[in-house]
Amino acid sequence: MEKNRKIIVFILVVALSFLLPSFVKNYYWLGIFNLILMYSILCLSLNLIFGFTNLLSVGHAAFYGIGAYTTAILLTRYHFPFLPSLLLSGLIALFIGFLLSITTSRVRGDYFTVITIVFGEIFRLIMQNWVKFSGGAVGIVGLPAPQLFSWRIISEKDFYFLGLVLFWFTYLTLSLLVKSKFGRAFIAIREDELAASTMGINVVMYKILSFSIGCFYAGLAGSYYAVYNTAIAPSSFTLDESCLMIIMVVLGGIGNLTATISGVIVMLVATEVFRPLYHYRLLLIGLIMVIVLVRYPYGILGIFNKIASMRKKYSYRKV
Amino acid sequence: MTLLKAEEIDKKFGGIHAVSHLNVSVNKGEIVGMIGPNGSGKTTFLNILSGIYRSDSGRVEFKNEDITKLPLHRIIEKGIARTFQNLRIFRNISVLENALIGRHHLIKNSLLNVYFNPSLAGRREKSAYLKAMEILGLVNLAKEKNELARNLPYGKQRLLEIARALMAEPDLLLLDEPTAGMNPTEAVALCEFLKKLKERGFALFVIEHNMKAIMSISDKIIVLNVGAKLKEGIPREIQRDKQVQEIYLGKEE
Repeated sequence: MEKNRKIIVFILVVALSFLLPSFVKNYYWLGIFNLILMYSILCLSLNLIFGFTNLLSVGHAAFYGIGAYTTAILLTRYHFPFLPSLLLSGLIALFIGFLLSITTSRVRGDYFTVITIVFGEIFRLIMQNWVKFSGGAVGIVGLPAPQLFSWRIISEKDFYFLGLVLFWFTYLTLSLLVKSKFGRAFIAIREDELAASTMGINVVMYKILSFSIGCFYAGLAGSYYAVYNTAIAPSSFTLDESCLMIIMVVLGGIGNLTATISGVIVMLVATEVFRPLYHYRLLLIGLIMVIVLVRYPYGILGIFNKIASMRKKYSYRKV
Repeated sequence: MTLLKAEEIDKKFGGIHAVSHLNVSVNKGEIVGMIGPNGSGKTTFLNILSGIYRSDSGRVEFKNEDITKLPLHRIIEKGIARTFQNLRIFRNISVLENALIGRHHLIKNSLLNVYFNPSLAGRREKSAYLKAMEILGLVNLAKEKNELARNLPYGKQRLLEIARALMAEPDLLLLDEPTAGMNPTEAVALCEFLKKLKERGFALFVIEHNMKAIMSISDKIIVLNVGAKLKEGIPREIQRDKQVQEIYLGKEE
């Protein structure tokens, strides 16, 4: 009964998300939706790494950048079709994530974080200075409009659908993952590494797995960003960007996929709504975040849980 | 039949000889108790058996197989599960999920199964769920299956940790002070439960400070003092033993 209701709600939400552009014709808002989709992919994958496995990676923007550069280089220099470039972007990000996590998964929490910060900066500096390969600070411009079979993706609306497909792919595959024994192993590592390994979980292997899978989706998001923006530069893949993703994950709710999306929406919409305030908007957003997190340490998820438990109380009283 | 055989186990931490030349064996379906003053090396020994520490010398044999050098996460596959003295349940997830993690190595799903054969993966998850409900029923936690583990009262958290270990279907259960922090009624109930486990064919190795509890359940008791075995025997012998009384109560002047 409960399960059926959930499935119906889910199908409705998916259908609604595909119908959205028929109601919203405004290109400005469609552009914001595209950003929401892209950041959702990034933050869902970061939540797998950070929220489920407790690996605080502050280098997620680097893997996002690796995906973006892969697609940009393949499309402009080698005239690859879009679909294989998209897949390769994910796979190369996964592979580099795998190499990085092999070397870091034995390192304790805070040291791991420092290494990911350094990795992100190294990536950005290489892209900025290896002019021949990456175009230096200017980056790579003039990416062609991507084509999927006979579908030429060119308008804001086309990109919305592309982003939506990638988003639902990410959401569904990650949901399956975290509900399986793999997801439980990640959570066990987050909760107590020693107890996890006495229960038969190979902690090092699962940390590598979680980190690499997360990087795969970041690569996909990077590829999407590259074709959407038609130009990329190292200034898009900074430490600030990694921090923004962490903020969104924390604001949404650590270790919960659906809540992550609400964190992304709140952050991006707040940025737009407060745009007339110029630099003061960062101050205001910071203030809102502090208030929310002091009141609800589990982020927006915490607010939902509170409402749910209040409703439960109310229904008890009725009985 | 001998299930576990630890021979000449030796462990030093710097200058401290935590465990010295210890020989212990546990038979199938037997409860072996280990007592000793604080710092006598009981937990160190348990950590060696469960793979957390490596012994400096000696060997651990389980079902005639050498497991001395096995990595920590592979011990449970061989059939040894344990609980901790200072409770290490997964606090922020539900009781049911805690139990399911105990079954990690028995759920044979691979990543490919999860994505490309969801019906098989689902069947395996379902059977793990049924097993979890059976074991949670055994420790009277079935009703609280959706409760967060941290919200359970202390005694029930202890039971949950045992349930999690049982989910791995071990042959030998290592318990580090299972009655610690329990009130007398809870402790008696736990002892009854441990006896029930023995009847079901589990072998238990129990470290305990609660003398009444350990005397009532053990088939054999080992007394440890400063890392070495002082006495080994049935509870009645141990209770009457002069030397054992001395290390616990001090010498008569």
